Amino acid sequence: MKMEFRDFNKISDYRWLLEKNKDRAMRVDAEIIASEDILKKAIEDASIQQVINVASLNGIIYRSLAMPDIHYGYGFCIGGVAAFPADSGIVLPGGVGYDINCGVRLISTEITLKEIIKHKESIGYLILNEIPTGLGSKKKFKFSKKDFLRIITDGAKEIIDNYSGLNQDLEYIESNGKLDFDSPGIISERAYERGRAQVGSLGSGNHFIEIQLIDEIFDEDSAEIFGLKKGNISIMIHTGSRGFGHQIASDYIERIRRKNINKIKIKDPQLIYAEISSNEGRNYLQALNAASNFAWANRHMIMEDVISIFEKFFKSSRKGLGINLVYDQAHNIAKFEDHVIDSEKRRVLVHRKGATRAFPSGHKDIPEKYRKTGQPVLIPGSMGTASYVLKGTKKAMELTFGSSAHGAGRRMSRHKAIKFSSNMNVREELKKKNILVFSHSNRGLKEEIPEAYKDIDEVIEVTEGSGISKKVARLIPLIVVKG
Amino acid sequence: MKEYETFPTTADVGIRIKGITYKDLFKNAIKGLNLLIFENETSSQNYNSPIIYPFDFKGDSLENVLVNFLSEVLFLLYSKNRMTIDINFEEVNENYLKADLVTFNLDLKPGIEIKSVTYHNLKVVEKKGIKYAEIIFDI
Repeated sequence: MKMEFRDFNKISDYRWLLEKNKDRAMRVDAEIIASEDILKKAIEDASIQQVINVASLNGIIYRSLAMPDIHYGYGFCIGGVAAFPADSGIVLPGGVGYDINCGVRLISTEITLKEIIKHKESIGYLILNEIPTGLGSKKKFKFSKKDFLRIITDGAKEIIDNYSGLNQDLEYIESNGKLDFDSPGIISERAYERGRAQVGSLGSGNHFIEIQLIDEIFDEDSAEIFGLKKGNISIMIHTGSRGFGHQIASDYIERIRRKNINKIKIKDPQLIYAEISSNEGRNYLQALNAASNFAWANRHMIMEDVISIFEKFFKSSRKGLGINLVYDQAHNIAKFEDHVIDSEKRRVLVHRKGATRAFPSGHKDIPEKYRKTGQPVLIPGSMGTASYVLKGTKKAMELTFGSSAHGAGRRMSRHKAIKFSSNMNVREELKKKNILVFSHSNRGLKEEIPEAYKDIDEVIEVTEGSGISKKVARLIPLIVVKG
Repeated sequence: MKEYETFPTTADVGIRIKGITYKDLFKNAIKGLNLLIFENETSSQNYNSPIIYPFDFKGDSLENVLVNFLSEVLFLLYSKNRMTIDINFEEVNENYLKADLVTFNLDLKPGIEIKSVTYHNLKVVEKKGIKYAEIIFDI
């Protein structure tokens, strides 16, 4: 059934509702948090059809949702959010994505622009040379299986205990950097093989380490609580669970398919699902937790390595440089959470694929320090544009299961981006904007040109306008190290 | 349409393959994947000392076999540093493939890192005796 703009009911300038419709086999309504322009583009690129496919899934609660950075994925759209009953519902690996617990970490510093500006080149090269980046990047060492098991069981804490870091940082990582995992036997040898050499590596694609300038504060009180001061430098890390998570996702799509493909009716085979209470469902959720723990350990190790570079370069300690972890959050994950739906408190499994958790002030699952403000919501832009720090709101709890956007979202295919930038010296173009870019791959840089992404400012305007998060600070890139 | 070619999606990439027989389809899947990863830069690859890796998979459909077959080729590439360039068939039908993958030590740097082979929009269709498939990869 063809989809048109007029099929949507406008709730407000930034909220659009598609009522459930038997002809589209929808079990619930679909809601898109978008401007009119973003919605029209989403209809064109077929990502709305993916939101509708999710709305047809068995047991889906409330609405099939899409965030302002919606774009076409496989199975779920990127920016998709959906919840199912924790006791009788389903779990979909396609609702999380292959890069399980891909996420963003933000670190504040007391280093000023003046102190870093002359050293941008040196710091960029040091990070590029010290942190494994790019295709199939691996650490110089491979963990033994015993040590690796500790990493996927204890997540970031294992890095702090046996590599480097501060215990106090755990509070500033979603779920304290660890989800319950105690079943090593449910993960394939292939996943272990791929993962053991990749802890502490950035990977390729849109993953990055960015040194940024905090250039605008929108909410002084919240920024102060987050430790963000105008004119200071921040560090942002974007990566996930690398080959370990990719292999787990592939393995479980296959295992669940083998069990269920002939039993269930789905519009897209990428939406294959298992009941949460089934062996396959339980095991996938356990494996997802292990991959999530890997990702938190990965981002923690990268952070520690970057801090070590800064300490050596500035000949000062992390305390002396005022380095603090602001927050670390996942944007590809499925988690059990409590939400109020139709005035009733329910335990649900929330799938966020390319969507960020945005819990409000007072929520028990956010750090004590942020209970007055709401949790930091980290939304990175492309390598030539600003990133934003927002805060979670009660509105997000009402509208989106406490979720928000996760980035700018691609608008150009990689192929088109390479063609578009064929005569462009990407490094030089960005240098003109005072951004130094470091990468082992010229092709990778061309694929990631800022023009390949949607306008981050529009995504932020919609995110704030809809009320699902509120702006706190803007960060502009100074040094970008790309995978 | 060529026997194999690549195509972009907004966020990812894919290959389009065709073949009269199942064997053609699998051979073209390897060629398409190598084109996607290495573009046309395979001339400096050294094809000495091959190693054979057996592949044996029974699935629910040709699509299911194709996904698992390509996943195996990618695993050999990214985890074992082995580039698959050919396939010796023992048995093949619409939901089964038993074959030897002919691989060489990889001299080249892959142009892209593929996370996984997806089932998204994957359907092998047959028109006038020729089988066609489009496979999208998550990168």
